[in-house]
Amino acid sequence: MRLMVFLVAFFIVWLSLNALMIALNRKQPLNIVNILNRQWFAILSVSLALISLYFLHQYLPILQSIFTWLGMMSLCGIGTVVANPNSRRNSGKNVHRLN
Amino acid sequence: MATAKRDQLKKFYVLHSWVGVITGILLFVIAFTGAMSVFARPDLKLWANESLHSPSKVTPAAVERLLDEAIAKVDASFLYEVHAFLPSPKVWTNLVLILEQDHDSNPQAQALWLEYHPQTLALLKQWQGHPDLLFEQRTTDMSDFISGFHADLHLGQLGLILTGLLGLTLMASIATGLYIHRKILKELFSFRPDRSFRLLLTDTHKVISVWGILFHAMIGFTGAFLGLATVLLVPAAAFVSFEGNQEKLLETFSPEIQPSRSGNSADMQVRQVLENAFAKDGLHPLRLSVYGWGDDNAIGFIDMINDNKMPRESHSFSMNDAQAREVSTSFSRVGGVSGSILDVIFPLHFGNFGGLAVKILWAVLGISTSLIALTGMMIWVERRAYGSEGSLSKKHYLRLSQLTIGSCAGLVMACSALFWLQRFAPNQVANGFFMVWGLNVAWALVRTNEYQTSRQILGGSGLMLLSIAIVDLFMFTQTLSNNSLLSHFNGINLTLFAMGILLCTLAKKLPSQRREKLKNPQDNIEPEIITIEPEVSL
Repeated sequence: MRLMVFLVAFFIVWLSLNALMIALNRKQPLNIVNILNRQWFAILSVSLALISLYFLHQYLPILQSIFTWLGMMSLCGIGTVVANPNSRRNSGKNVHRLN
Repeated sequence: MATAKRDQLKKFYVLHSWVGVITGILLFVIAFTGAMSVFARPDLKLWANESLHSPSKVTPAAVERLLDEAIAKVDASFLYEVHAFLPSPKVWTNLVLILEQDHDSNPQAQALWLEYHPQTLALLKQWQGHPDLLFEQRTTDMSDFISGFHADLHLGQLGLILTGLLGLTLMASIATGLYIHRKILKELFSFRPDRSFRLLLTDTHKVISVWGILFHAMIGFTGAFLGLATVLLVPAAAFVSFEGNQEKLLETFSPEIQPSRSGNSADMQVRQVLENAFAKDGLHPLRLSVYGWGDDNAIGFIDMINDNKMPRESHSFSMNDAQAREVSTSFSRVGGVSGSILDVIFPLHFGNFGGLAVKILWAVLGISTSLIALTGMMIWVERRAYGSEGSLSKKHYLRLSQLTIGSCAGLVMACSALFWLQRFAPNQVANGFFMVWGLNVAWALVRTNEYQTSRQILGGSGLMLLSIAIVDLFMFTQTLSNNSLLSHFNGINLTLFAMGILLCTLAKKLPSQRREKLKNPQDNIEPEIITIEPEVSL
């Protein structure tokens, strides 16, 4: 059961990071981003992150769930970026304007 | 002003790269073996010991009976401390009873070691000698070897200092890395694998470093503490507060204390105390230690793992009536926030606070720490062998590259060989490990194409893991069973099989030679290192 909760929380963290990537993307003309403001994706990302933490906390004490959640966030972040590489055309431009 | 800032950035960049290149191989070794050590207990211990594949027959009544039998045969002076180490994949393979004389006041005191099989309860080993030699009697396996290697490289105190210092250098690398990489948010999302090899390396290095920064910093800090605590911190604390008396310091903060003996004899309720401990939900007793055996003030301490809390707990009981007294942790007597922080350092470092899922998470992130060291080394070599940096000839840098490949990929093969050694030469685990590792380093140094070398070594490691899982299928008759321990064992074999496939696939996908000549000269440029940004993005 605990493993199932962990997997679901992991999936929600992954969704949260994908929402964050859309929220931070200023270059790619995604239609859905034109319809929904990027700020909504940022809010969605934070909400999903908090939901995943709450979900973990249902089965783990708070200290353990925070550390587990941080670990998940790191791993999911690496996975999300590696799974969505910058192509030759848009390399480095995904979040160019952030700095 | 801008020039001064540029110079400062350059200094930090030089510091970052030199700290990295000096400690890189060692950091890979410690981080990779650390990722494996996460599973040392109970998973690898269960895999290594067939006696643990069935539930233990060691019950509270059996422990009481064996203790009574042992005590009846020895002099009363051996009852100063009485310990029973309970068999489980978490620490001890067999039931071990230890009876000790008073070693505090008598330097010639003796200890008696009695070891029993966890299923048949037959006496396997009896030993008597000085208490300092007690734990050398313990039978070790590959899980003990790899966790010991991670902790001190099997070099004793020198190894502990080395691993502790490595934790500090990891933290220094994180701090300097943060300072020199100004566009941290951009680097969080930049991964360009289809441009140049060097860009692939730098992007991988940065993505893994930045996303896992909290994990790497935590591992560095807790590793430095665990490495330096016993060698430097305890002596330093004793020097400051206890006039250099380390034993007095440890006694002050140890939760286990000697009771004041009343002189009135009493029956020891070993069975009842153990039954009370086993009845506690979510707690797994590992050891019972009784101080003041036979006295009505005798206290028993049971060391337990608590599924719902991070630190290990020590539950104390009155041994004459089996009443629970108090619950403490290793550092609870330190008190305050410091005690709580010290208590979580060990579980945080090894990820043993949230079950198997957290262990897998910690192991993968541990491998990511080792990849940072490896990619850092490779970037350093690339910039000097094929770039404008460095003053030595290309041959010298390629020699370092060969050494890196031999040491790092060779370690992967040596760790894979541990499984074979455990099955077919359990007494030669350490020798076999170092021999395989050494041969791989030598092989990498005599080969000229390090791309081919890494493919061969990783492919070989994959085949080793694949085949050991298949060998196990034929070696053990009870392969399919409802026994949860055996299911766990089978799960580990399946994981080894999957890891073998993964390593073989990786070996197949790696390039067999360097992709020469960058198509776009721009690919060579990495402006974020030295350029000065007007604003800091963090």
